[in-house]
Amino acid sequence: MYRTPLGHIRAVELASGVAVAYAARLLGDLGAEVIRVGSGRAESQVADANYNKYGCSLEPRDAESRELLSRLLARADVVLYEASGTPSPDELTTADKGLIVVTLSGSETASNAPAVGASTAAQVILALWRRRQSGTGSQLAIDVGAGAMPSARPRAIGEDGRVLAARADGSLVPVLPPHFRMSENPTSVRLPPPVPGEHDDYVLRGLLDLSETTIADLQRRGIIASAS
Amino acid sequence: MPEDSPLESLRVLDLSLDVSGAFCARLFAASGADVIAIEAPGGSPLRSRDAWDYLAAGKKSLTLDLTSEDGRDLLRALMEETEVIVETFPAGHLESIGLGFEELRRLKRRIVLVSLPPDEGASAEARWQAGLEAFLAALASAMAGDANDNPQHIEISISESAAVSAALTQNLSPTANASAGVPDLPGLDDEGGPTPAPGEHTESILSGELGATAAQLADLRQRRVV
Repeated sequence: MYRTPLGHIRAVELASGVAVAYAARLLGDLGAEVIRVGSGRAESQVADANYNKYGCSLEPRDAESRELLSRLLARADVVLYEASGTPSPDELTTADKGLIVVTLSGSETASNAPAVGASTAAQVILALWRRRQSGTGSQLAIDVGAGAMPSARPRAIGEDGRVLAARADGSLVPVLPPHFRMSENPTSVRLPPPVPGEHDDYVLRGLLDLSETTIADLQRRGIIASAS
Repeated sequence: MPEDSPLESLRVLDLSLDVSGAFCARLFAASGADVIAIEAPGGSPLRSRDAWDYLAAGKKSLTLDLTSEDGRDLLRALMEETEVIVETFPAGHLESIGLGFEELRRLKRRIVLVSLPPDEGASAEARWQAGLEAFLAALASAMAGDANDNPQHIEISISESAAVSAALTQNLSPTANASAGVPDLPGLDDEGGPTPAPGEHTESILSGELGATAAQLADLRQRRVV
Protein backbone atom coordinates (compact mmCIF):
# COMPACT_ATOMS: atom_id res chain seq x y z
CA MET A 1 0.00 0.00 0.00
CA TYR A 2 1.47 3.32 -1.04
CA ARG A 3 0.77 6.34 1.11
CA THR A 4 -0.26 9.33 -0.99
CA PRO A 5 2.67 11.75 -0.66
CA LEU A 6 0.70 14.58 1.00
CA GLY A 7 -2.35 12.57 2.04
CA HIS A 8 -2.05 13.62 5.71
CA ILE A 9 -1.67 17.35 4.98
CA ARG A 10 -4.29 20.10 5.06
CA ALA A 11 -3.46 23.38 3.29
CA VAL A 12 -5.43 26.61 3.38
CA GLU A 13 -5.15 29.04 0.47
CA LEU A 14 -6.29 32.60 1.05
CA ALA A 15 -7.39 33.20 -2.51
CA SER A 16 -5.46 35.95 -4.26
CA GLY A 17 -3.44 35.50 -7.49
CA VAL A 18 -2.60 32.72 -9.94
CA ALA A 19 0.77 31.74 -8.40
CA VAL A 20 -0.76 31.07 -4.97
CA ALA A 21 -3.67 29.23 -6.57
CA TYR A 22 -1.39 27.00 -8.68
CA ALA A 23 0.91 26.22 -5.74
CA ALA A 24 -2.15 25.10 -3.76
CA ARG A 25 -3.47 23.00 -6.65
CA LEU A 26 -0.14 21.18 -6.98
CA LEU A 27 -0.31 20.30 -3.27
CA GLY A 28 -3.84 19.03 -3.93
CA ASP A 29 -2.63 16.94 -6.88
CA LEU A 30 -0.16 15.26 -4.53
CA GLY A 31 -2.94 14.35 -2.12
CA ALA A 32 -3.21 17.28 0.30
CA GLU A 33 -6.65 18.49 1.34
CA VAL A 34 -6.70 22.06 0.06
CA ILE A 35 -9.26 24.65 1.16
CA ARG A 36 -9.47 27.79 -0.95
CA VAL A 37 -10.84 30.58 1.23
CA GLY A 38 -12.46 33.57 -0.48
CA SER A 39 -12.71 34.22 -4.19
CA GLY A 40 -9.41 35.93 -5.08
CA ARG A 41 -8.69 38.16 -8.03
CA ALA A 42 -10.56 37.43 -11.25
CA GLU A 43 -7.51 36.11 -13.11
CA SER A 44 -6.86 33.59 -10.32
CA GLN A 45 -10.21 31.92 -10.89
CA VAL A 46 -8.89 30.02 -13.91
CA ALA A 47 -10.11 26.42 -13.63
CA ASP A 48 -6.67 24.88 -14.24
CA ALA A 49 -5.29 26.53 -11.10
CA ASN A 50 -8.18 25.54 -8.88
CA TYR A 51 -9.24 21.94 -9.09
CA ASN A 52 -8.52 19.46 -6.29
CA LYS A 53 -9.66 22.02 -3.71
CA TYR A 54 -12.60 22.74 -1.46
CA GLY A 55 -14.06 26.22 -1.67
CA CYS A 56 -15.06 28.28 1.37
CA SER A 57 -16.61 31.71 0.94
CA LEU A 58 -15.22 33.26 4.12
CA GLU A 59 -13.55 36.60 3.33
CA PRO A 60 -11.11 37.31 6.19
CA ARG A 61 -11.77 41.04 6.58
CA ASP A 62 -13.14 41.70 10.03
CA ALA A 63 -12.39 40.39 13.53
CA GLU A 64 -15.09 37.75 13.45
CA SER A 65 -14.14 36.24 10.12
CA ARG A 66 -10.47 36.27 11.15
CA GLU A 67 -11.34 34.40 14.30
CA LEU A 68 -13.01 31.72 12.18
CA LEU A 69 -9.95 31.67 9.93
CA SER A 70 -7.58 31.21 12.85
CA ARG A 71 -9.71 28.30 14.06
CA LEU A 72 -9.42 26.78 10.60
CA LEU A 73 -5.65 27.35 10.59
CA ALA A 74 -5.39 25.56 13.92
CA ARG A 75 -6.54 22.48 11.98
CA ALA A 76 -4.21 23.12 9.04
CA ASP A 77 -0.55 22.37 8.29
CA VAL A 78 0.08 25.02 5.65
CA VAL A 79 -1.36 28.43 4.81
CA LEU A 80 -0.55 30.28 1.59
CA TYR A 81 -1.40 33.89 0.83
CA GLU A 82 -0.18 37.19 -0.55
CA ALA A 83 1.65 39.48 1.87
CA SER A 84 -0.33 42.51 0.70
CA GLY A 85 -3.49 40.94 2.08
CA THR A 86 -4.51 40.33 5.67
CA PRO A 87 -3.80 38.97 8.20
CA SER A 88 -0.08 39.41 8.81
CA PRO A 89 2.22 36.38 9.19
CA ASP A 90 2.73 37.20 12.88
CA GLU A 91 -0.96 36.96 13.56
CA LEU A 92 -1.09 33.58 11.88
CA THR A 93 1.87 31.86 13.55
CA THR A 94 0.69 32.50 17.08
CA ALA A 95 -2.17 30.13 16.38
CA ASP A 96 -0.01 27.07 15.79
CA LYS A 97 3.71 26.42 16.23
CA GLY A 98 3.68 23.72 13.58
CA LEU A 99 2.02 25.84 10.93
CA ILE A 100 3.96 26.52 7.72
CA VAL A 101 3.16 30.08 6.68
CA VAL A 102 3.88 30.98 3.08
CA THR A 103 3.59 34.59 1.95
CA LEU A 104 4.10 35.84 -1.58
CA SER A 105 4.94 39.43 -2.33
CA GLY A 106 5.54 41.36 -5.54
CA SER A 107 3.73 41.33 -8.82
CA GLU A 108 3.00 38.30 -10.90
CA THR A 109 3.20 38.33 -14.65
CA ALA A 110 2.32 35.82 -17.31
CA SER A 111 5.76 34.26 -17.51
CA ASN A 112 6.43 33.87 -13.81
CA ALA A 113 3.16 32.58 -12.34
CA PRO A 114 3.71 28.88 -13.21
CA ALA A 115 7.35 28.99 -12.06
CA VAL A 116 6.53 30.80 -8.81
CA GLY A 117 3.57 28.50 -8.14
CA ALA A 118 5.59 25.33 -8.67
CA SER A 119 8.64 26.55 -6.73
CA THR A 120 6.36 27.64 -3.88
CA ALA A 121 4.81 24.17 -3.74
CA ALA A 122 8.30 22.62 -3.71
CA GLN A 123 9.34 24.85 -0.81
CA VAL A 124 6.23 23.86 1.11
CA ILE A 125 7.22 20.20 0.73
CA LEU A 126 10.76 20.96 1.93
CA ALA A 127 9.29 22.81 4.92
CA LEU A 128 6.99 19.85 5.69
CA TRP A 129 10.00 17.55 5.57
CA ARG A 130 11.94 19.84 7.92
CA ARG A 131 8.96 20.03 10.24
CA ARG A 132 8.81 16.26 10.46
CA GLN A 133 12.38 16.34 11.80
CA SER A 134 12.18 19.44 13.97
CA GLY A 135 8.53 19.48 14.97
CA THR A 136 8.24 23.17 14.20
CA GLY A 137 6.73 25.01 11.26
CA SER A 138 8.35 27.85 9.41
CA GLN A 139 7.66 31.06 7.57
CA LEU A 140 8.51 31.26 3.91
CA ALA A 141 8.55 34.70 2.29
CA ILE A 142 8.62 34.38 -1.47
CA ASP A 143 9.26 37.26 -3.84
CA VAL A 144 6.99 36.87 -6.83
CA GLY A 145 9.05 39.49 -8.65
CA ALA A 146 11.64 36.81 -9.27
CA GLY A 147 10.58 33.50 -10.71
CA ALA A 148 11.14 33.75 -14.42
CA MET A 149 12.11 30.84 -16.60
CA PRO A 150 14.55 31.57 -19.42
CA SER A 151 13.42 32.59 -22.92
CA ALA A 152 9.68 32.42 -22.93
CA ARG A 153 7.98 31.50 -26.16
CA PRO A 154 4.22 31.95 -26.39
CA ARG A 155 2.26 28.81 -27.03
CA ALA A 156 -1.23 28.29 -28.28
CA ILE A 157 -3.61 26.81 -25.78
CA GLY A 158 -4.90 23.58 -27.22
CA GLU A 159 -8.21 22.06 -26.32
CA ASP A 160 -6.71 18.61 -26.58
CA GLY A 161 -6.09 16.65 -23.46
CA ARG A 162 -8.75 18.38 -21.39
CA VAL A 163 -11.00 16.36 -19.14
CA LEU A 164 -14.42 17.43 -17.90
CA ALA A 165 -14.71 17.87 -14.15
CA ALA A 166 -18.32 17.65 -12.96
CA ARG A 167 -19.55 20.08 -10.35
CA ALA A 168 -22.26 19.15 -7.87
CA ASP A 169 -24.84 21.09 -9.89
CA GLY A 170 -24.08 18.95 -12.93
CA SER A 171 -22.13 21.60 -14.85
CA LEU A 172 -18.90 20.46 -16.50
CA VAL A 173 -15.61 22.33 -16.33
CA PRO A 174 -12.88 21.45 -18.87
CA VAL A 175 -9.43 21.25 -17.25
CA LEU A 176 -6.01 19.87 -18.16
CA PRO A 177 -5.47 16.96 -15.74
CA PRO A 178 -2.31 16.80 -13.58
CA HIS A 179 0.59 16.37 -16.00
CA PHE A 180 2.72 14.18 -13.80
CA ARG A 181 1.76 10.51 -13.78
CA MET A 182 2.65 8.53 -10.69
CA SER A 183 2.74 4.75 -10.75
CA GLU A 184 1.66 4.09 -7.17
CA ASN A 185 -0.94 6.76 -6.54
CA PRO A 186 -2.18 8.10 -9.85
CA THR A 187 -2.85 11.82 -9.85
CA SER A 188 -6.30 12.84 -11.01
CA VAL A 189 -8.90 15.56 -10.93
CA ARG A 190 -10.57 14.55 -7.64
CA LEU A 191 -12.48 17.77 -7.12
CA PRO A 192 -13.72 20.27 -9.74
CA PRO A 193 -12.69 23.92 -9.35
CA PRO A 194 -15.01 25.09 -6.54
CA VAL A 195 -17.30 28.06 -6.68
CA PRO A 196 -16.63 30.16 -3.55
CA GLY A 197 -18.65 28.71 -0.73
CA GLU A 198 -19.37 25.39 -2.42
CA HIS A 199 -17.91 23.62 0.62
CA ASP A 200 -18.83 26.08 3.37
CA ASP A 201 -20.79 23.34 5.06
CA TYR A 202 -17.87 20.91 5.00
CA VAL A 203 -15.44 23.54 6.33
CA LEU A 204 -17.59 25.39 8.85
CA ARG A 205 -19.73 22.57 10.17
CA GLY A 206 -17.46 19.63 9.45
CA LEU A 207 -14.12 21.10 10.51
CA LEU A 208 -15.03 23.96 12.84
CA ASP A 209 -18.11 22.37 14.42
CA LEU A 210 -20.24 25.48 13.93
CA SER A 211 -23.96 24.93 14.45
CA GLU A 212 -26.49 25.39 11.66
CA THR A 213 -27.84 28.41 13.51
CA THR A 214 -24.41 30.01 13.64
CA ILE A 215 -23.81 29.31 9.96
CA ALA A 216 -27.20 30.77 9.04
CA ASP A 217 -26.33 33.84 11.10
CA LEU A 218 -22.98 34.23 9.30
CA GLN A 219 -24.83 33.98 5.99
CA ARG A 220 -27.42 36.53 7.03
CA ARG A 221 -24.72 39.02 8.01
CA GLY A 222 -22.77 38.48 4.77
CA ILE A 223 -19.66 37.04 6.46
CA ILE A 224 -20.02 34.00 4.25
CA ALA A 225 -21.97 33.58 1.03
CA SER A 226 -25.66 32.68 1.20
CA ALA A 227 -26.53 29.04 0.73
CA SER A 228 -27.01 28.26 -2.94
CA MET B 1 23.48 24.53 0.78
CA PRO B 2 21.15 24.59 3.78
CA GLU B 3 22.89 23.24 6.89
CA ASP B 4 19.84 21.52 8.29
CA SER B 5 18.60 20.08 5.04
CA PRO B 6 16.26 17.13 5.44
CA LEU B 7 17.69 15.87 2.15
CA GLU B 8 21.18 15.33 3.56
CA SER B 9 20.87 11.57 3.47
CA LEU B 10 19.08 11.46 0.13
CA ARG B 11 21.05 10.28 -2.88
CA VAL B 12 19.97 11.23 -6.39
CA LEU B 13 21.33 9.74 -9.62
CA ASP B 14 21.13 12.16 -12.53
CA LEU B 15 21.11 10.35 -15.88
CA SER B 16 19.79 13.41 -17.74
CA LEU B 17 20.74 14.28 -21.28
CA ASP B 18 18.30 17.20 -21.34
CA VAL B 19 17.95 20.47 -19.43
CA SER B 20 14.61 19.37 -17.93
CA GLY B 21 16.04 16.47 -15.94
CA ALA B 22 19.36 18.16 -15.22
CA PHE B 23 17.44 21.08 -13.70
CA CYS B 24 15.30 18.71 -11.61
CA ALA B 25 18.48 17.12 -10.23
CA ARG B 26 20.08 20.57 -9.76
CA LEU B 27 17.18 21.54 -7.50
CA PHE B 28 17.81 18.42 -5.42
CA ALA B 29 21.50 19.44 -5.13
CA ALA B 30 20.53 23.00 -4.14
CA SER B 31 18.25 21.56 -1.47
CA GLY B 32 21.02 19.53 0.13
CA ALA B 33 20.77 16.10 -1.51
CA ASP B 34 23.83 14.11 -2.63
CA VAL B 35 23.48 14.27 -6.41
CA ILE B 36 25.63 12.19 -8.74
CA ALA B 37 25.57 13.15 -12.41
CA ILE B 38 26.38 10.18 -14.60
CA GLU B 39 28.15 11.12 -17.81
CA ALA B 40 29.44 9.12 -20.75
CA PRO B 41 33.25 8.84 -20.61
CA GLY B 42 33.46 11.68 -23.16
CA GLY B 43 31.40 13.98 -20.90
CA SER B 44 27.72 14.94 -20.92
CA PRO B 45 26.34 16.51 -24.11
CA LEU B 46 24.95 19.22 -21.82
CA ARG B 47 28.50 20.42 -21.11
CA SER B 48 28.43 22.44 -24.31
CA ARG B 49 25.41 24.43 -23.10
CA ASP B 50 25.75 27.92 -21.64
CA ALA B 51 23.70 26.80 -18.65
CA TRP B 52 26.01 23.87 -17.82
CA ASP B 53 27.81 25.59 -14.94
CA TYR B 54 24.45 26.35 -13.40
CA LEU B 55 22.98 22.91 -14.08
CA ALA B 56 25.97 20.99 -12.69
CA ALA B 57 26.65 23.15 -9.64
CA GLY B 58 26.82 21.12 -6.46
CA LYS B 59 26.67 17.75 -8.24
CA LYS B 60 29.29 15.04 -8.28
CA SER B 61 30.36 13.56 -11.58
CA LEU B 62 30.79 9.89 -12.37
CA THR B 63 31.68 8.72 -15.86
CA LEU B 64 30.13 5.47 -16.95
CA ASP B 65 29.72 3.88 -20.36
CA LEU B 66 26.11 2.68 -20.28
CA THR B 67 26.47 1.03 -23.67
CA SER B 68 28.70 -1.60 -22.03
CA GLU B 69 27.45 -4.46 -19.89
CA ASP B 70 29.97 -3.56 -17.18
CA GLY B 71 28.81 0.04 -17.14
CA ARG B 72 25.21 -1.07 -16.72
CA ASP B 73 26.17 -3.46 -13.92
CA LEU B 74 27.88 -0.61 -12.07
CA LEU B 75 24.82 1.60 -12.57
CA ARG B 76 22.57 -1.16 -11.25
CA ALA B 77 24.75 -1.49 -8.16
CA LEU B 78 24.68 2.25 -7.65
CA MET B 79 20.88 2.33 -8.03
CA GLU B 80 20.64 0.12 -4.97
CA GLU B 81 22.30 2.90 -2.97
CA THR B 82 19.97 5.57 -4.34
CA GLU B 83 16.59 7.04 -3.40
CA VAL B 84 15.83 9.10 -6.54
CA ILE B 85 16.77 8.54 -10.20
CA VAL B 86 16.18 11.24 -12.83
CA GLU B 87 16.30 10.31 -16.52
CA THR B 88 15.43 11.89 -19.86
CA PHE B 89 15.86 8.92 -22.21
CA PRO B 90 13.23 8.19 -24.86
CA ALA B 91 10.39 6.16 -23.34
CA GLY B 92 11.38 2.51 -23.09
CA HIS B 93 15.15 3.04 -23.26
CA LEU B 94 15.86 2.08 -19.64
CA GLU B 95 13.77 -1.08 -20.09
CA SER B 96 15.75 -1.94 -23.23
CA ILE B 97 19.00 -1.95 -21.23
CA GLY B 98 17.45 -3.95 -18.40
CA LEU B 99 17.12 -1.03 -15.95
CA GLY B 100 13.46 -0.10 -16.31
CA PHE B 101 11.05 0.57 -13.49
CA GLU B 102 10.03 -3.08 -13.15
CA GLU B 103 13.69 -4.01 -12.71
CA LEU B 104 14.17 -1.23 -10.12
CA ARG B 105 11.14 -2.52 -8.26
CA ARG B 106 12.91 -5.84 -7.81
CA LEU B 107 16.14 -4.13 -6.71
CA LYS B 108 14.79 -1.84 -4.08
CA ARG B 109 11.66 -0.83 -2.22
CA ARG B 110 12.32 2.79 -1.46
CA ILE B 111 13.07 4.44 -4.78
CA VAL B 112 11.56 7.15 -6.96
CA LEU B 113 12.17 7.06 -10.72
CA VAL B 114 11.54 10.36 -12.50
CA SER B 115 11.13 10.21 -16.29
CA LEU B 116 11.05 13.28 -18.52
CA PRO B 117 10.93 11.83 -22.05
CA PRO B 118 12.53 14.12 -24.65
CA ASP B 119 10.35 16.53 -26.61
CA GLU B 120 12.26 18.06 -29.48
CA GLY B 121 9.78 20.84 -30.13
CA ALA B 122 9.67 22.07 -26.52
CA SER B 123 10.70 25.63 -25.69
CA ALA B 124 13.49 26.26 -23.21
CA GLU B 125 10.95 27.66 -20.76
CA ALA B 126 8.83 24.50 -20.96
CA ARG B 127 11.87 22.30 -20.21
CA TRP B 128 12.81 24.29 -17.11
CA GLN B 129 9.20 24.34 -15.89
CA ALA B 130 8.77 20.58 -16.40
CA GLY B 131 12.03 20.00 -14.49
CA LEU B 132 10.76 22.12 -11.61
CA GLU B 133 7.45 20.25 -11.50
CA ALA B 134 9.28 16.90 -11.66
CA PHE B 135 11.34 18.05 -8.66
CA LEU B 136 8.33 18.82 -6.51
CA ALA B 137 6.52 15.57 -7.34
CA ALA B 138 9.70 13.55 -6.69
CA LEU B 139 10.37 15.46 -3.48
CA ALA B 140 6.91 14.65 -2.14
CA SER B 141 7.25 10.99 -3.14
CA ALA B 142 10.71 10.69 -1.58
CA MET B 143 9.40 12.25 1.63
CA ALA B 144 6.56 9.70 1.72
CA GLY B 145 9.01 6.97 0.75
CA ASP B 146 10.09 6.41 4.34
CA ALA B 147 6.65 5.10 5.11
CA ASN B 148 6.08 3.21 1.89
CA ASP B 149 6.83 -0.25 0.66
CA ASN B 150 6.59 0.49 -3.02
CA PRO B 151 8.78 2.42 -5.40
CA GLN B 152 7.20 5.25 -7.35
CA HIS B 153 7.54 6.08 -11.06
CA ILE B 154 6.78 9.68 -12.00
CA GLU B 155 6.43 10.57 -15.66
CA ILE B 156 6.15 14.15 -16.84
CA SER B 157 5.33 15.27 -20.35
CA ILE B 158 7.08 18.54 -21.20
CA SER B 159 4.41 19.51 -23.73
CA GLU B 160 1.59 18.88 -21.25
CA SER B 161 3.41 20.98 -18.67
CA ALA B 162 3.69 23.79 -21.25
CA ALA B 163 -0.04 23.56 -21.98
CA VAL B 164 -0.82 23.96 -18.28
CA SER B 165 1.46 27.01 -18.01
CA ALA B 166 -0.27 28.56 -21.02
CA ALA B 167 -3.71 27.93 -19.51
CA LEU B 168 -2.67 29.46 -16.18
CA THR B 169 -1.30 32.65 -17.68
CA GLN B 170 -3.90 33.41 -20.34
CA ASN B 171 -5.43 36.21 -18.27
CA LEU B 172 -2.20 37.70 -16.93
CA SER B 173 -0.29 40.60 -18.46
CA PRO B 174 2.75 39.42 -20.39
CA THR B 175 6.24 40.10 -19.10
CA ALA B 176 8.19 42.79 -20.92
CA ASN B 177 11.40 40.83 -21.21
CA ALA B 178 12.04 37.21 -20.43
CA SER B 179 15.20 36.40 -18.53
CA ALA B 180 18.02 34.71 -20.38
CA GLY B 181 20.24 31.83 -19.36
CA VAL B 182 19.15 30.29 -16.10
CA PRO B 183 15.92 30.54 -14.11
CA ASP B 184 15.46 33.00 -11.32
CA LEU B 185 13.52 31.12 -8.67
CA PRO B 186 12.64 32.85 -5.44
CA GLY B 187 13.85 30.90 -2.44
CA LEU B 188 14.62 27.60 -4.12
CA ASP B 189 18.09 28.43 -5.27
CA ASP B 190 21.44 28.84 -3.64
CA GLU B 191 24.91 30.06 -4.51
CA GLY B 192 25.44 26.78 -6.29
CA GLY B 193 28.66 24.95 -5.69
CA PRO B 194 31.61 23.80 -7.68
CA THR B 195 30.94 22.43 -11.14
CA PRO B 196 32.57 19.00 -11.43
CA ALA B 197 35.03 17.99 -14.13
CA PRO B 198 33.87 14.91 -16.08
CA GLY B 199 34.37 11.90 -13.85
CA GLU B 200 35.86 13.97 -11.03
CA HIS B 201 34.21 11.75 -8.43
CA THR B 202 34.43 8.45 -10.26
CA GLU B 203 37.02 6.94 -7.94
CA SER B 204 35.51 8.12 -4.70
CA ILE B 205 32.04 6.87 -5.70
CA LEU B 206 33.13 3.50 -7.07
CA SER B 207 35.49 2.73 -4.22
CA GLY B 208 33.48 4.47 -1.49
CA GLU B 209 29.98 3.32 -2.41
CA LEU B 210 30.57 0.13 -4.34
CA GLY B 211 33.78 -1.07 -2.72
CA ALA B 212 35.77 -1.26 -5.96
CA THR B 213 39.48 -1.95 -5.50
CA ALA B 214 42.29 0.04 -7.13
CA ALA B 215 42.93 -2.85 -9.51
CA GLN B 216 39.26 -3.00 -10.52
CA LEU B 217 39.23 0.76 -11.09
CA ALA B 218 42.34 0.55 -13.27
CA ASP B 219 40.75 -2.24 -15.26
CA LEU B 220 37.52 -0.27 -15.77
CA ARG B 221 39.52 2.74 -16.93
CA GLN B 222 41.62 0.69 -19.26
CA ARG B 223 38.50 -0.74 -20.87
CA ARG B 224 36.98 2.78 -20.96
CA VAL B 225 33.91 1.70 -18.97
CA VAL B 226 34.58 4.77 -16.80
